[in-house]
Amino acid sequence: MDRNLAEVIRTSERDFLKVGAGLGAVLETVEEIARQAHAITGSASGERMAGAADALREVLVYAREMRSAEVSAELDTILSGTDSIRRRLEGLQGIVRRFRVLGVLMQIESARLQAAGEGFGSLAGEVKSLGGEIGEQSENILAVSGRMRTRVTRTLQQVFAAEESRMARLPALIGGIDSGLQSLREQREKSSNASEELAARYRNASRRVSDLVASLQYQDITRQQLEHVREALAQAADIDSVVELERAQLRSTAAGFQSSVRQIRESLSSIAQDASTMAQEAQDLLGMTRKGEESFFAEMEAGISEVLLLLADCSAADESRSAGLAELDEAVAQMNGLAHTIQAVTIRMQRIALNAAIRAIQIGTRGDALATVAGAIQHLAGDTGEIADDVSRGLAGVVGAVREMAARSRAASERFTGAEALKQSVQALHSAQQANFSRVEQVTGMADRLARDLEQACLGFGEQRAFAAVLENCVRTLDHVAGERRTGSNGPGREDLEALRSRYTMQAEREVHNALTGSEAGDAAPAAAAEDSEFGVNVEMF
Amino acid sequence: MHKTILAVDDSASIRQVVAFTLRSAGYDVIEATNGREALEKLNRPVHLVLTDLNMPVLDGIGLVKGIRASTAYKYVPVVVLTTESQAAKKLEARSAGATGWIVKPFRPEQLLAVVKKVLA
Repeated sequence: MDRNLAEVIRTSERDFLKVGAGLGAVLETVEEIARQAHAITGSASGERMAGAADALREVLVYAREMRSAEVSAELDTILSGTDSIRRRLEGLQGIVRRFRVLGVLMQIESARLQAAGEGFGSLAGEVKSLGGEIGEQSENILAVSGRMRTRVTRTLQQVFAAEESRMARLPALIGGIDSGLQSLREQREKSSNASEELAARYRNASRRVSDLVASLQYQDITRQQLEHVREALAQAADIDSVVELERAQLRSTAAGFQSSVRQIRESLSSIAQDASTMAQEAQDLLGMTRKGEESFFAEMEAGISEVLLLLADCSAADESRSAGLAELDEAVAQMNGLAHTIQAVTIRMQRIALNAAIRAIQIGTRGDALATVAGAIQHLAGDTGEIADDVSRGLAGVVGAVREMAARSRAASERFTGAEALKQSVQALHSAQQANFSRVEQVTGMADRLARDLEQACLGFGEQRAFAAVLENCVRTLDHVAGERRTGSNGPGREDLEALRSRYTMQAEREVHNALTGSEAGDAAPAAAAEDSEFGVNVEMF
Repeated sequence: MHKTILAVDDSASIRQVVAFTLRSAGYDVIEATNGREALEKLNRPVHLVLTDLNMPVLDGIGLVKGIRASTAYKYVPVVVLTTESQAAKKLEARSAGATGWIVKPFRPEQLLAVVKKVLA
């Protein structure tokens, strides 16, 4: 019996060591699977793709909003501004004619007054000349404004033509993107669930590894318990006195050992199962098959290309508008300059009229007619000045609209850049997703290998039947001896019980002993419960 | 820099699980099969000793006393890792200078929590 016990202790140690030797590789594989799965979650698709697609959608919605409404409003402002300027300037034509008439009248009066009217002739000449200049500048403004109007009208036509083209393509594009967004939402949801399940699976596998560590210690615990039984049997003066107790110790030891064996086998199987499930959950993180993924990205990239074409149209329209805006800007500047010239002429006209009025008064009553002409010239100059001011104000409104349009053109080219960047993002995501498929393949391979290895380990470890059989034989042998003893002796004495109890180091051994003998704990009291409960009841820090 | 722990136990399976637990957490581990061998291996920097009690040649109590009597390793913490559960034995270990007491079987997270506290 003693030899058999020694042998099974040795072989069980070998089997336990074999399982223990694989723990490092098991934990490393489980951790690596979890790391790869985490990398898949991190790299991907879900949030970033959704972000990219949402941004695409924004671009399309922006294009659909069509700045054309604002563009039209701005163009209308320009048109109405130029029309208003034209109408005011048309009023100026009549004024210019009256300046000419007044100039002639002044000349006539000057001639009539002869010497007294000296100087008025030249003033009259100036009035006619300045009147002519006002007329000329006014014609120039009208010419520039006419060209501007033609340009604006042409631009409007372009805007509306582009709008029609965009409106024809937009519904299909947005439909495609919506469909893509829906797929992404579903994928994100699956990824989120799979990610949580995978994390739980990893925690479970880690817990099982901890269970293995605890269970593997039972080889040593069992060895010590069996050594105590062997010693007790070998050293007892009277074997009959200890046989029942040692039989009970053997049964208890066997039960503890078998429990640890079961635990080890269950842990190995559970880890294998968890590894396989983690591989499946890693696949679920992707949310789609490789074929589905290729098709998805092909559609997304096609949609983006369409968007780029659409934006290229917008950009082309904007470019021609920009050129037109530059022209408009120049035209407005030119008209402003001309309006200022008219204002300057008006001031000169007013000085002439004032001069004439003063000289007319100096002449006396004979100069009344000249005074009246001077007054009329002054009045007309005032009207001219007002018209010039109105033109300047009108031009300020036009300038505002031109600047708005210029700002919108700049924003449009930024959108184009944004869409290009999105295209690159989607391509990068596509690459990342392909890398993730490789990760999943790797993870599946690792999980399969781990499952196979653990299955082998479980088979190799077996159920430790040989160990159980030897213990059972020992118990039967002791049963037989105990049976014979019951017909004879009076049982173990107190000294024998004390001797036995003192050799026990473990609480489990003392409990078996006390249960059988009905004795109390005595001197071999168990250690008090650990003060440091943060570590567990089997730990105490001094 | 990794901390080094000396694991002392005459059982190969216990040394194996202790070493696995500690190395997984990033500690360096030196092993010894009894107290005498452990004292010989204390010729290099060691931050903590984990020792069984019942070992041949020199047992755990003898090892604790030997460490506390040394000059170089007098203050190295020593945690006993044992199947022993008698109060008298625990008191003996404490009196000899042990820092802590863990009864087998332990879970790896318990061992690591104790090591972390002791090395803090």
